[in-house]
Amino acid sequence: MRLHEEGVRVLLSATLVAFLAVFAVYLWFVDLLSSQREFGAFLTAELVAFAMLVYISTKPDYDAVKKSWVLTGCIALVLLLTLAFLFPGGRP
Amino acid sequence: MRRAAVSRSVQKVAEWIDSRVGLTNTMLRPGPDYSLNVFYWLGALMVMAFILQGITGLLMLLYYTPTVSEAYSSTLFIVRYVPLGSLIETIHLYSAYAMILLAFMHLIRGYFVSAQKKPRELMWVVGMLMGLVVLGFGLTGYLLPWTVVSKSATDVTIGMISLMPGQLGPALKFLIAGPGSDASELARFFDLHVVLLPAVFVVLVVFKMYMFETHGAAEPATGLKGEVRDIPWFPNIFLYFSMLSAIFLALLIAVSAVFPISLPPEFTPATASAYTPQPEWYFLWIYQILKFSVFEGPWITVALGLATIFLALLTLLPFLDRRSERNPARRPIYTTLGVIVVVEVVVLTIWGYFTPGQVIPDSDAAIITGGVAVVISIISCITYRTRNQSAFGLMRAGSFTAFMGTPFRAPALTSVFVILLAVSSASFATSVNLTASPWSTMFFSSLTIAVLSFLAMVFVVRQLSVSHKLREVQQ
Repeated sequence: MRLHEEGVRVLLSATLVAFLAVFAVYLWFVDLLSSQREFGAFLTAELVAFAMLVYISTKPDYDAVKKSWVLTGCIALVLLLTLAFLFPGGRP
Repeated sequence: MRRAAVSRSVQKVAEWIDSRVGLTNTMLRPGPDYSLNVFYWLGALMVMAFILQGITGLLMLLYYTPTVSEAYSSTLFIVRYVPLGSLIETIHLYSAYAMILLAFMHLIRGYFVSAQKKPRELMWVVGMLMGLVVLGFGLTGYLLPWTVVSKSATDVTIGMISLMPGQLGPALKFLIAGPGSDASELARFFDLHVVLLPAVFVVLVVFKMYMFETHGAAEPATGLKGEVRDIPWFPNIFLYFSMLSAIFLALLIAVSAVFPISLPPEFTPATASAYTPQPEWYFLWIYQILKFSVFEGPWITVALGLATIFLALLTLLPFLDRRSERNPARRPIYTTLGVIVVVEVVVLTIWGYFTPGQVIPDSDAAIITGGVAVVISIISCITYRTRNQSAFGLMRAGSFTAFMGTPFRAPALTSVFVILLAVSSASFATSVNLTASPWSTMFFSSLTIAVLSFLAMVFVVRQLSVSHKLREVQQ
């Protein structure tokens, strides 16, 4: 089944909202002394997801959304999560 | 049904507040569509960095002690033992860098699009004062951890300030560093950083915002394309700025998380003697100029006097350049001067980074600074000429690449030029003893000479072909 373009936008927005909610909770449980890099990476991911959500929802239709920007945001999120999970330290 | 009722209640509250405060008629009024461009928001992002500085600074104040004996140990405690201390300290430092960088970018952008023109002259002057306050933040805050790097760098900067002409130098030194003891210096820097400068900055921001609300965003320097639409402040402008701020903060936090600061050793006379003092990156360009051997001894005052005059001229720019033309394409002299200054600052900063504590020979200084100025002037000359020739129909519009490729279409002439320029460059390099200079000087000089030679060749060859074509057109 092929999703309608507006459907893609709603799906993307819903995924980003879920991402924001899940990692906001996750942030609460990160150790603030020994895992500062992890905290920073998750906080950055939250901000990137928020920026993506605003960008996608403020465009008049899905055609006006630049797919390269969305892709860049997704790559940034993947990189940040990889950084957070693989190198969680950060305490000097 | 219930949702609509909630929405109505929220709207009622918002209307009540707005009717009393009047925000939608002043700060939150609709804005033009062309202002939804990141270059229009550099100043706002700078204020965002200032707010971040305030928040992280206040958090650090909970643990920091501004005394010579405890400044370093309390900073070390923040970095090592306070939850999120390292991240907050790093964000504070990097947001200060971001603030300075954004201030420079805001100034450069304002210069090139002539944002200082009538009726925004005073906005420019206030912006320049804000820029000085931002540099003051950088200078005063850098000393506070009392590391060997920060104390030595601050001493270099204070030394530079104290050498300013007349009584200005000593007076400024006394004002910011006190009678001379380390304790008074740290106390004054702390007071300036935490109390006086933030207060002055907030007053200047409010004053600038007030003028901004009166005059609005300046139209694009290249003119308006089509009809201007007004966009509501909420939700459009609000969400746009929220997105920009989120990206800006994300970048800052990401860099801070990946590259956390590591505190250098504490300042003591013993550690200081083993360290070559170097100011922070934003003062490196002027420090590099002061290292030119021509400014050794009493001449350093002349250099600082010239720097002060340059700053004064830049501040008074709106009253010097009174033409109404704002398009950089029609302001060749101002645009070229602006590019020369920006590139010189970048080159001097990089050069200064690679040559800590070295006195720069006059020949190297002349070749590099003069070379950069000549290269940019030639590029500018070619660019503006190309533009004019396009206008006369002698060249295809937008054929700058084709123009730069001209020498390859006249191989015989090009060969002669290459041989002549190579011989003259080599003899010039030998005459100023370039081959005995350090690698960085060699690199910059060779690059400058190569680019200069290439552009001179393009220029001359093109001149010949254009004049030939002109004759054809006339016949």
